[in-house]
Amino acid sequence: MEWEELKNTWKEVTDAENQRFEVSEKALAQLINQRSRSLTDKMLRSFYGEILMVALCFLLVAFVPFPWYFRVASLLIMTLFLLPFFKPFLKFYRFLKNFHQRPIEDLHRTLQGQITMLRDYLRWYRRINLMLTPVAAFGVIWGVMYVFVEEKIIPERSNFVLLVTFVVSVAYALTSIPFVNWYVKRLYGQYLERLEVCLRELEEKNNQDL
Amino acid sequence: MNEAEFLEVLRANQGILVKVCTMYCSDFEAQRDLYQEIVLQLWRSFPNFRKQAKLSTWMYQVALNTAITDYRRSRKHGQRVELSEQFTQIPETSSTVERQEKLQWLYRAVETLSDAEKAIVMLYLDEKSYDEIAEIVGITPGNVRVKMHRIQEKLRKLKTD
Repeated sequence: MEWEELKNTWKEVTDAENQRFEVSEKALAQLINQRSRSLTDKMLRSFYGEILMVALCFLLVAFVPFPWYFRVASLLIMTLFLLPFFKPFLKFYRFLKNFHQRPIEDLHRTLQGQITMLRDYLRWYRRINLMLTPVAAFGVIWGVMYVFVEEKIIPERSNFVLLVTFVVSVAYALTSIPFVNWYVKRLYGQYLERLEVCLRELEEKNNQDL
Repeated sequence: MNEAEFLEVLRANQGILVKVCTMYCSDFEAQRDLYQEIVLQLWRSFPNFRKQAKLSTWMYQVALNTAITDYRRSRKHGQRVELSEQFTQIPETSSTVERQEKLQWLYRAVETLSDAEKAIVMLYLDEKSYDEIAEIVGITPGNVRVKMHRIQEKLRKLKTD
């Protein structure tokens, strides 16, 4: 194979393509104000959505199934439950928010950073999902009972119901583990694998080729 | 830096973006999407551009990082911006049999390469030295040399098949 020949063909192709990508001033103004399709921006947008969903579920589970005098206690319990997730949430939010303010690095370092960030994200996403699934199930069951039984559910007076709800919620959480794993893999798993392949390729030892 | 200055820089180095888009996307729609994303990322990261670095090196890094690590190729196309009046016009090209064969061979060769190999080959075809390729990709010049040797073997095999 002649590299020179390939270089000439490549030049010919890219010179021709060049004409198709002329940017006008008007187009540039639109371009720099458009919504980014980059991974980190998409993750930040999903992050906002997920925070909103968690807050909504949190309030629903803490308030709806309980009478007014138990709501403060349920709110406190829920806050304590979510407390361990606060620090990683904040760390991850800061990372995504400041991602494009970092100095640009070479491909190898960028790959390492992206992979670490994605691994962290998927690990925490999986943990939070597994932890919140029984809470959400618990809340839904209480809520349904509240609506259909039409009476306030007071935990102290209905230990049996509480126990049944708890067992059902845990069972539900356990059966949802494969689903959560599948979903996390579907979300960014394949993309992470692609990045890992690329990084491995850059890092592999080439002594055998020399 | 204002938009007019940025546009000037962009026009002067337009070829870099076009090369990256051509290398990583086979159809024009996908190339256009990637191009728009790279321009956006260049604009956002320009305040952090270290003046001691070479502008072309920095642009290659942003473009490659966007194409390989920060951009998920999707079938759904995002919001499109008409780049200019001649945007949809296909440039006049000579259509000799020899040229068509060369082009077909080039695209076939590109398809067989991995993302990392594409980056190295593209920089090599753009007359970059092994040191410059090493700086952009983040590996040693020796490793670049070895990878180029491997790519050459791969392409040679493809041609004989």
